[in-house]
Amino acid sequence: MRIRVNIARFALVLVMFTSWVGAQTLDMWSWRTEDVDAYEQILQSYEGLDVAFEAFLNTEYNTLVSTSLQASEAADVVQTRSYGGVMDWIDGGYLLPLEVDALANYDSMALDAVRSRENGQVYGVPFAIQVLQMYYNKAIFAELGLDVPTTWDEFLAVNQAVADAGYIPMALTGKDSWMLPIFHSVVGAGTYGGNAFVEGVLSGDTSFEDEAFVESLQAVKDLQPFLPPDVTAVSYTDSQNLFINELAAMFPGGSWEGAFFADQNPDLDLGVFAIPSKGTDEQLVSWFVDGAWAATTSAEDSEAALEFVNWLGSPEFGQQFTDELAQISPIKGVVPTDPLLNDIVTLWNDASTPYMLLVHFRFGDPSGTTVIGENIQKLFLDDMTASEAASDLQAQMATWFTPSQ
Amino acid sequence: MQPSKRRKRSLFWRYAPFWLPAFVLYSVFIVYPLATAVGYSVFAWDGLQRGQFVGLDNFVRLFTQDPWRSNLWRAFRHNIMFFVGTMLAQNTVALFFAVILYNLKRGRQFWQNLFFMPYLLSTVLVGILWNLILNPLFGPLNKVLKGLETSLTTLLSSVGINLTVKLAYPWLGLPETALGTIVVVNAWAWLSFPMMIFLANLGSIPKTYLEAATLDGASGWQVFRHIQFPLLRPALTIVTVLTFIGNFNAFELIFVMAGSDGSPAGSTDVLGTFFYRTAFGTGPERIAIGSALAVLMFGFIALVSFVVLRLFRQEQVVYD
Repeated sequence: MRIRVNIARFALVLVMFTSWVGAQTLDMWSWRTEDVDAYEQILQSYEGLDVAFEAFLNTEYNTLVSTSLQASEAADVVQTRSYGGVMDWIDGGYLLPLEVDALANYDSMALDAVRSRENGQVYGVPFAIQVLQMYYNKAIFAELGLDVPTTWDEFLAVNQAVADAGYIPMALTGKDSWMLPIFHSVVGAGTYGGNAFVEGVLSGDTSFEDEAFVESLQAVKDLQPFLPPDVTAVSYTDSQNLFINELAAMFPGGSWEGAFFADQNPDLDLGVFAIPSKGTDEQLVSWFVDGAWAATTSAEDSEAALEFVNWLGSPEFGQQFTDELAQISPIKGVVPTDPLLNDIVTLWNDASTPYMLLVHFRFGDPSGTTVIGENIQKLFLDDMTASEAASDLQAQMATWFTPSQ
Repeated sequence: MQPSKRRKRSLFWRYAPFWLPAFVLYSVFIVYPLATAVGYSVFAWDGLQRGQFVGLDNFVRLFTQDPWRSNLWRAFRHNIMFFVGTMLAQNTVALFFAVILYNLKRGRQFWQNLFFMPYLLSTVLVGILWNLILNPLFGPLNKVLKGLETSLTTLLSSVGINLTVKLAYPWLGLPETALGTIVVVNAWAWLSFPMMIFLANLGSIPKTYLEAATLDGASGWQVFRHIQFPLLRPALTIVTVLTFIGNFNAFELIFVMAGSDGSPAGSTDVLGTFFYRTAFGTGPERIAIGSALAVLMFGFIALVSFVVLRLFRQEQVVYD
């Protein structure tokens, strides 16, 4: 009998203890299963409540969080996608609007990634940005006596020199169409006029049929002779292999590639530059916010969750994030220790414009990136001209996008 | 209540341990999701928020409004091409091999096993394997074909014909060849399945028919054309219906070999990939239109399969 009473007492204490512990920790969900150790390390320096970090399979993460949010059973703080990818959660009222100090640590354009298009409020603190530019193999450039180009003509001359030496100038996939809008942004953002054009399209002052935009697509077509032969049959992994194995001298791509290249071929001497644009010679990189941290309406103690999110937007967190995970933090004052990332951040600080088709044209079906991806394939296959590709983009976006004017 | 009815009812429940598990599993994993999709397809959706009941509006918009309308017809056309291509490249060849194997005196088991091997590979693996074989930069197929090009051109010029032979193409990179290439790869992976059905059906045809026909002086072709082929109708029916269902639900192989956009330039886009892009894409109405498309695909496949099965069954050939 006594044993039974003791067991009951012990169970009661256990229940009380676990519920006390439960109330005293914050849950945090992420899709970065590969970053668990790094996050646990970083989170030790948070002085508030203990945080339990949990990561789920990337491909199932959105469904899992959506379902949990609807049932009010999600974590206190969740990792969110950006722009069109997070709007369901914002519009559904599942995330807490932020009025925390940390927002001052961000450029307003970075906060657009988690800003409601209905009420203008911000719902998360961005954790990483990706910058799109040109990678180049310094050894090949040195071997051929080439310098980083500063004008469009120089850029074409560099490509020609590399091709004459028997290398493929630029490694690009034409088969995996998601890379093609990235290539267009790397090549053409300066040609269509960067931020000024973006504002014009959003307000309705101009459209994708604008001459400058058509010219930016023509610039992509102009570069086809310097891409791998039969480019529409070349896959993304093929293009990576061409660059890693030093068969190609340049690789237009995002800042996520650098760590992979270095890992696959540690001898690769990597550099980055912004392509001088056709027509303007302006050297512009594109960028976008990768994702953010947000407090959810599932949080029992929303104040504690918001306080934690505020810390996730601090330079203290940002610096550890970039040091531990070798990614670019959008938080002001954070400087990457990795030299290549630092070069990329320098390009970003010098002159940058948002990756327009992702940042502004992924809120409807079809997305701008899907349409331009397919159209650039047609451009490469000579099934479309640059101006047809631009007109088609305009027509397809008009099915769901209305300029703000 | 009559005793016989009561007895039936008690038997019904007595056998419950046997049918209940299957019933529960089937209901939870097949019937419930299907019913949910039908339910979703008649409501308006904004992201995860369900709006009001709209009846068949989502279906109407799928047929009348771009981008869905144009994508739907393009994908449907490609599915038909995929089906016709598979019937030709897979099932005719399978029938041919089945007849040869049936008449083979020795080594039938060996060839049967050999043909069956690709069937054991997962679709994703088949896709990756063929992506490597067809790779335009490093792939072995084009290397071989380029070698053939040179030797054939030299051969032709030696007999005085100046013709440059071109055999190596970026198979998955051209809109003209991409879908056909995937059809061939699909046929390669699935060939043994219809072949086995044909073989089994051939084996079930009484030898006396064949012997009688041969005694009457029928040639090998005549035996096949007038005896075996008509009696293969049950196998042909089931193979046609299964090919139809498989081809109109095609997704994995195309997704692996050409991506969710049906590269290049949408030339391999089928209903499966179109559904994937719509339901898991960027539009706020993806649940509405995605569900409508799923219901439409299910309804169409079910209807056609039903009609074909009925038609073929009516025309059953029996030699008494």
